[in-house]
Amino acid sequence: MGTEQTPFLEVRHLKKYFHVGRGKVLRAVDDVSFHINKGETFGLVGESGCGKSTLGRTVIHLYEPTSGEITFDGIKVGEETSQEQRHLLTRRMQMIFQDPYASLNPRRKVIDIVAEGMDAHHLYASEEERRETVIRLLERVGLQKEHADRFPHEFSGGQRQRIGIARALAVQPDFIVCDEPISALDVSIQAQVVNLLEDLQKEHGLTYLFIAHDLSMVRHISDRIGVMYMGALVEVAPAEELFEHPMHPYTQALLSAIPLPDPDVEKKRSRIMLNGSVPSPISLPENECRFCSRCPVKSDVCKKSRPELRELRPGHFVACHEAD
Amino acid sequence: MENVLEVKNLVVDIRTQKGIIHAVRDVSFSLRQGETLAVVGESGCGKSMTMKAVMQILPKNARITDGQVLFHGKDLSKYSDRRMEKLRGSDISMIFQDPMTSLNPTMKIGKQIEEVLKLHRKEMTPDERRKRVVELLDLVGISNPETRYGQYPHQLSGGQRQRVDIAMALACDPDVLIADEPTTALDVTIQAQILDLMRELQKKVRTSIIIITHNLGVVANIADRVAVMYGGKIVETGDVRDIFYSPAHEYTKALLDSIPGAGDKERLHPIPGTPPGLMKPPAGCPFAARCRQTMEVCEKFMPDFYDQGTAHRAACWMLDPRAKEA
Amino acid sequence: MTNDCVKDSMFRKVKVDEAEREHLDAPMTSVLADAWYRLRQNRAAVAALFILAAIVLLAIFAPVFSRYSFKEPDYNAIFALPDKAHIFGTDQFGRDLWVRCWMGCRISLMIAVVAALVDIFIGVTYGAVSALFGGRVDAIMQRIIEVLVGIPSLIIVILFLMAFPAGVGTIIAALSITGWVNMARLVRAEILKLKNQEFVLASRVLGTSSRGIILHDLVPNAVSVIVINVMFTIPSAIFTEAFLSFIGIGLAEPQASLGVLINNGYQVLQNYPHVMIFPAIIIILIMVCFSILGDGLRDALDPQMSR
Repeated sequence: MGTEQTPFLEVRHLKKYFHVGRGKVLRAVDDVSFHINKGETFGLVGESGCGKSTLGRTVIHLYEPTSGEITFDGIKVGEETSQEQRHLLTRRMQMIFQDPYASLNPRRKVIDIVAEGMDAHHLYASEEERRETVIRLLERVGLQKEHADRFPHEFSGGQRQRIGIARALAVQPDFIVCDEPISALDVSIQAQVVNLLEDLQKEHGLTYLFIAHDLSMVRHISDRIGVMYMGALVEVAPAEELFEHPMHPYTQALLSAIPLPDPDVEKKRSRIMLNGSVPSPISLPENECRFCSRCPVKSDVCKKSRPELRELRPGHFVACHEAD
Repeated sequence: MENVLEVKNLVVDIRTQKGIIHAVRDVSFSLRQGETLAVVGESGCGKSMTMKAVMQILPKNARITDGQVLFHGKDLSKYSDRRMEKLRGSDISMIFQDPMTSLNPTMKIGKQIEEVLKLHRKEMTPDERRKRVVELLDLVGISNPETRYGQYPHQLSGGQRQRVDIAMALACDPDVLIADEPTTALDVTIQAQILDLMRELQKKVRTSIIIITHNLGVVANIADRVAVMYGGKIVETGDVRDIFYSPAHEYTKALLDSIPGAGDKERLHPIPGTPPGLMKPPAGCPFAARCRQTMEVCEKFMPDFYDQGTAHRAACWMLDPRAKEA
Repeated sequence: MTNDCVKDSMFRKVKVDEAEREHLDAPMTSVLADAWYRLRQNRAAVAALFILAAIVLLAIFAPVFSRYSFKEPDYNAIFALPDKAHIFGTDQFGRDLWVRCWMGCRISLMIAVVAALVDIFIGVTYGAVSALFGGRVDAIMQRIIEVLVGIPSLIIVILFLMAFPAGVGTIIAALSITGWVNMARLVRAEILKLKNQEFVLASRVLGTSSRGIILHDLVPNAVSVIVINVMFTIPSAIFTEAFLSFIGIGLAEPQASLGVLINNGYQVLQNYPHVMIFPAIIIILIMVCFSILGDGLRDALDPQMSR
């Protein structure tokens, strides 16, 4: 997976600000650049409020970016993009949501939920074809054809999440944003969904942006991972590289905080504890490192200038003055 | 070691419009002085309902239909509401998943902790109470406890709120602390801090802890003993090392198999299907429908517990000598 | 225990039916069927529903099948007490009160239902537009509502009735001037809440048109709020109409509405209490039943709220 090929999705200097009243601005996404290659899974991790979900929603054009560029398969989407072009893009870019209880319309039957995208893009010739396609999709995600005429509230969380996946697949997309698709599910069910996503990726050559806060699952599914903190990417690296050699002090703390399912290892582990308080993303000082207030290795320079992403090892980018 | 809490053959039924849900089906376990017992299981397996039954805070449509909850040998299920109220918050206390909903948003946090003392420690003077609250806030690692005393819940971060919740639960030195998914709503870095705090506190105040969680990492981190629940029943109990290194029940094995190992790019091994509904629970082993080793007997009869060591037992037909012969 | 029945032969592997693993416990139901079921469990609400149905049927058919007319006087039977000929008795002009009561009930209900329909039409449109457009449009529309709420609605209604000739149409118009405001606010709040739900975001991601989102996502999920609100606006419209007629600026004789009848009976209350009692009982039944049914519907449609 060399970086020479033209990236499938390229995000450059993307900013998404929200006005939160009284002239205050929340910089949910603040100058983020990254790319995803075709067929790749890019994991995006970070703690709540770091802007990872906003980034995902901006990439898929649910939010209008404040500034910056998003190029998808050579198509740059901006103000001049026509409604028609945008509509075509909704077929190619899809999303799987976090909350299986909120992401399906409670008043519609499963068949209508799954077929919604097909309705919008006129992807069938007859009512029978519509039903057949939906049943095929349901069976593909491990459900049965009898489920087509039921309502979402009758299903368990894992089953609902699979209905959500079938709905996204129905329009045959090439790119899917998975916004914490497993964090609301039980452990044994998480693996079902992850396996399904991996199989579908192989079958259809899908490209994923996989957002999550469960790091062990992200490590498993991702080819490359980006770590977000306070609206910015602080480290981007291939998955194994990131876990074996985390370079940013925040990534190091984050990785050391994951409890591992192994009692003997847990007893012996030492953790990097972050002291200091989490700064408010609204009043973040402009000219210092975002992680400054909690960083265990900060020096004077961190207070004076904000670090940019630097490539310190092949494919491994870090935004930290102290890392080398 | 003495058993602080002993639950015997507990049965809890929930009445709903569509029928009776058998949420807790014949659950027995014990909690020893000073230990941490983790109860793990999938959502809807009855783990929260069991603890609510222990605390006698079941929802209106649920009730204990059988069994005993023995706290220092006395059956709490026979206690009147009045006596239970005295016990709750003072001898047994509970912390919840979302500290935002368990704290009163319109009341200063110091006052909220004081309320607990007012209720259960009537002999304390206002000055003593205040001193105790500051002490508690300090104990749970809240910096500037004097200033924090006068702040409202919304002025604190999620992690700090959970600390306040713990301080409130510990205010009267309870013998038992029940923590229902205390770190699920928190970020991992904060989760690590709260787990550390709970471990430290236990050393200091010798409280016995029951922690309900579905995160196996959290279990490995904090538990001494583990009870695995499935389909309204406890299917396996044992020391934390027994459970992780020599699991006996097929469900426990499958559960541990389903989490990805470090650097493991292999296909995951999920447990197929979904947990059984408890409106009409299966006659046999609740896990039979999803198990890799299902036998005819599993579908027909619920297995008894088989001892696997000193304090390690599992209810699985695969442990029966006859299963090995076949 | 059960072990006695366990045979050695049972210890052989069996294949688990794949379908069994994805088995759905509950029978197939829609949200509305569920709600209907919950409503039927609520005995008070069911009773209220029956009483209201009876009142509506009587209001429609009782005057039709009676040999008396609601406005023809009969000076031979002035202030007749209830008996076989006149079930509710007669008034000062000898008019049959049974017929007049149900006629009045018919008119009161009609006014209330039409006013409620106007409320739904204006309120839902206004609330939906305000919530969907957002930004400046929403701000202006909300300021207008605030101004309307600021003026006591009874004053507007009274002024309106003094300016225009009294009649059914005028009263409906008067009730509708301010009546829709509440509906607009509720619908706006509901749609604002729904608009950011993940299933609406999903529809947008799938390329569904705004029309599709309104038709399939927003309206069906806001229906319960609308229905519940109607259950409370109908009795309040009946009450307002009765109040207006009672103070003499609503409908006038020989037209009958529940308010007109109560006003009429009130004047002879001490000598002939039956003239007032029957319309009063009917209006109380209507108010109480709508209120109980409204509560029942709220619990049935929104089970989280009652928990």
